[in-house]
Amino acid sequence: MDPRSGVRRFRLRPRGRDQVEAEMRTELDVHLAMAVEHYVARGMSREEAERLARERFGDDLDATRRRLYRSAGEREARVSRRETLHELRQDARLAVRLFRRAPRFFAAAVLTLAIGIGANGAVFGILRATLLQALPYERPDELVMLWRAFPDDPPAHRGELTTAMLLAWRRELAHDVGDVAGLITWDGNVAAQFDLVSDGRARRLNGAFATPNFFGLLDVQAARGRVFGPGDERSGEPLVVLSDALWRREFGGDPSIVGRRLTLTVGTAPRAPRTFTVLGILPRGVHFTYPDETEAWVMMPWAEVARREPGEIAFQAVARLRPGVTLTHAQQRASALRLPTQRRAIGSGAGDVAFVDAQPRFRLEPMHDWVVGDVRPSLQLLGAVAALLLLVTCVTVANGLLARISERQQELSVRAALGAGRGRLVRQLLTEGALLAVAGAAAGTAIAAALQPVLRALLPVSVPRVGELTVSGAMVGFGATIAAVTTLLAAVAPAWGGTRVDGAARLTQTARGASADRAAVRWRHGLVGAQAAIATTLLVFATLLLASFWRLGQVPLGFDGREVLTVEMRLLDPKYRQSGALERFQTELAARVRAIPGVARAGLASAVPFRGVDIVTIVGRADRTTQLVNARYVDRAYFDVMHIPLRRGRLFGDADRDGPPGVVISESLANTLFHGEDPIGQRLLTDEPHEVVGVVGDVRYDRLERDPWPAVYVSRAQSPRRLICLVVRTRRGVPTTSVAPAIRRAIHAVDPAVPAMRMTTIDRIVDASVANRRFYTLATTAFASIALLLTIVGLATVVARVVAERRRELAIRAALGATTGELARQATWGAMAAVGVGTLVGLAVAYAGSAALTQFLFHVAPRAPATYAAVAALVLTVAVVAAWRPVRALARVPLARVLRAE
Amino acid sequence: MKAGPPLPFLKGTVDMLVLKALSGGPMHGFGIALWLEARSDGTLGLDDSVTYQVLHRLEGRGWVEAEWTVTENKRRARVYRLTRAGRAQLAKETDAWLRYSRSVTAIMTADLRPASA
Repeated sequence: MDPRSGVRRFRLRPRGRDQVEAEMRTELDVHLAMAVEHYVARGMSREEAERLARERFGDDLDATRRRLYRSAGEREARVSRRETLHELRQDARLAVRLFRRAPRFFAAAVLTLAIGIGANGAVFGILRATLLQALPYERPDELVMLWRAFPDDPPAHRGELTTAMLLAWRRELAHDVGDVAGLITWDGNVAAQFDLVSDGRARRLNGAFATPNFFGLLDVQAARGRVFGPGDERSGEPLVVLSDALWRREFGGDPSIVGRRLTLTVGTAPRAPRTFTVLGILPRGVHFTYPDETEAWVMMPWAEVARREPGEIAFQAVARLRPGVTLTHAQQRASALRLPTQRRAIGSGAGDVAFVDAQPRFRLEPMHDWVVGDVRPSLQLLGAVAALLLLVTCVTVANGLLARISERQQELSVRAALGAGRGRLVRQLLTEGALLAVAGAAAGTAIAAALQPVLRALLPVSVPRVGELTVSGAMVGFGATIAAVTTLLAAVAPAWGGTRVDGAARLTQTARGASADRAAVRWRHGLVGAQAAIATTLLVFATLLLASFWRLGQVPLGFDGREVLTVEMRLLDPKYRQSGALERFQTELAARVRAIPGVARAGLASAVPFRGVDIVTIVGRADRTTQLVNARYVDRAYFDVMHIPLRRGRLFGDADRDGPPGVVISESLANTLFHGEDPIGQRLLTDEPHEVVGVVGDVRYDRLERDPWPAVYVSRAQSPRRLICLVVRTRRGVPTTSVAPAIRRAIHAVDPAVPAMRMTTIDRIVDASVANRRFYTLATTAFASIALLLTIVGLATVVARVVAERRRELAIRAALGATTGELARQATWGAMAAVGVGTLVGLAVAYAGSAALTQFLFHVAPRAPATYAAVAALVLTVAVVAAWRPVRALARVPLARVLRAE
Repeated sequence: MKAGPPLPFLKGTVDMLVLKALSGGPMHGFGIALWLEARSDGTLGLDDSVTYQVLHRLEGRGWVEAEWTVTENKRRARVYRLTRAGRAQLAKETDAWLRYSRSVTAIMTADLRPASA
């Protein structure tokens, strides 16, 4: 030991207060005795000598004693702190030396940890940006969204409020429950989709009308200029506040825009260009809506709200609960409000439609849930899976450390024999673990940081706030925390299990080269079993998710959207209210698009599957049986382009223009409404009577997971609509997207004021609808595969070690006539049994946990025995293969040489 | 030469004095007290309890280490010795003290009478 460090050469056992006090007492007594002797030797009387000796300590000897006890106690604390620190440094030095001697082990362990920590760090980054990070408003926990709900609505239904509801809350609850702001937003109402016309080009903006108190309620300030507030209610001046992104994109970030005038076409009836004063620019990061942000905020005075129809359904609303008001209390107060009843149609899918008068209720939803609620379960799944992977990596490293300990038995025994206590040895091993964890965490955090941009690109756009994904201090902090946890998990077990050292016995034993310590082997087998358990659980989950994804891919869409380009238009301009204007627009558009070289066919619809506005309407037969259906306004070419097959009758024809209006219905509507009768030629009642001319195949309209709804297709030639989705199929060999610019030009040529929105391919729309599912399925599968790989490596290593350690014993058995098969059984029995038990445990855990997985599954039973059997078979087969290699190596060893070598 | 009543010891310097006392070799607490007394002719007037407090502080800092031994008189005594860090500290403090006291002495003994023309 280095004397310079000032550490006692022989560490006295850690001492308690009593002992320190006793020592101090002895020291003082000896001191007094020496002083007395000193004075007596100078010829003093004994009494005088004792008096003088005592005087040397001042007036009050007892007080002095107490003071010295205390100061001795402080000394002891400081010394032991320093010694601990010194030992840690010593341990770390030793660990570094050891790792330098075994670089391959060190690299493998760090790499394993880095994978686990990196995966977790990346997932944590996502969870933090979406679930954990507070919304960019002051005290966001107080903010709730208000929705209209009927008792039979699904629990998560978000119905917009009626004017009467919004005003009722403001009148009755604003003072003691919480202030409310009303909004009409782009995602709920076309009136709030603003057109910004500049340079002869129309851009449709995600807009919102907001009551004057909106920004004050959120406590959002402008980054430039100001936001509108209650003081502007009476100004009568049209005011607009722009988002940071819009300001940068459309105005090049020009600060002089504040205070200038801006023309936006807003509203529906009437929709007209209006001039607004730009009041201010919002800070970056205030999106309000996710994933697409709201770009322009127009002030809507309360007086204007009050003028609207009481029954009009138009508003989203945000309330800020007053301090001390809980969500439950607010919900109770809101539920107690008497609200005007509403007439509503009940009965979807099949059966008659009934009308009831029902009283709507408020449903309160924390704003954070509104923003991230839909993706929360899948992100939580991701987090859980990542945590399991981390556990596997910890177990892997623990196993590696344990193997190293058994290699180092002799060294540890020597240290124990030289007086190192078990605590000291455990600490040495913990230090090694910590060193590994720190290196692993550093590498892992680097991996996670490097993964961030990849993840951001990979994450489905439906995950809100991924834009806020950053490499942050929190992520580094998370890495450090994980490192600490990893140290505990990966090093404590081996340290405890590996240091049950009976020094002398071990020394002699190892010197004789006896078999490996059974306890350590049991530990390692246990760890391999744990790995197998976690890997099995993950594999079951991954299999269920993969099967769901595969099933989803097998779902008949009812259409073929491959290589179909689509673009949306909404003819909101008042000029399209004039008779014939819509027909002229759509006819000319279709003609121009069909004339584009490379375009094979082009059709029109009110909405394409998986996107757009689905018009729900009620149809009935003459005998008054009714049905809620999805109405689509299409032309004949639409079926052609989308490859929607005609089952009976015919599609729309030119004749329909003059005759009784003909409609095409879907197969499921034919079945539910006409019950096997031939629907062709039958009358179908909507607002006006139609004649069924044809039946087409069912189409999934909303999501892959949802069964097709009955649908009725109305001819656009007879009922033109302002909603237009153009669908275009290109000629063979012509890339779909190559015609996009020509299509934009065609739309511009028909009416330059009509914005072409959301141009993409149908493929991509379908793809995006499963992006979220694909992401977590892939992540789970990847994590499960890594876990399995680590388990295999762990198993192979343990078997190899057992074989190596028991070579002598196995050689003797071989000499006594044991066959290779018997030897193999002997060498691998423990590890294989552990894997077997682990697999069973893993299956049980997966079985228990599969209920939580149900919401992610599609047409897959979470507890189908086949899945579990397949996973068990996979794990066990892989285990046998992994164990085979070291055993085969054993068989090749010339046993005589082994015996001679010992 | 006994020089009047004991001086109140200068705070901070006692640590240095104890280190100096131990620089000759290991000593127990009473030995240190005697040594200081003898060298200063009693002018420092150090209370023996202060010696122990100083020793505790020095041991806490790692400049001094202690060990129980048996004296010639068959007494168990706690014997203190300088560590290598303590020796370095002593050298540092000695150097600082000498420079400090030299400057102070130079000032205090300066001739302040105005220079005669």
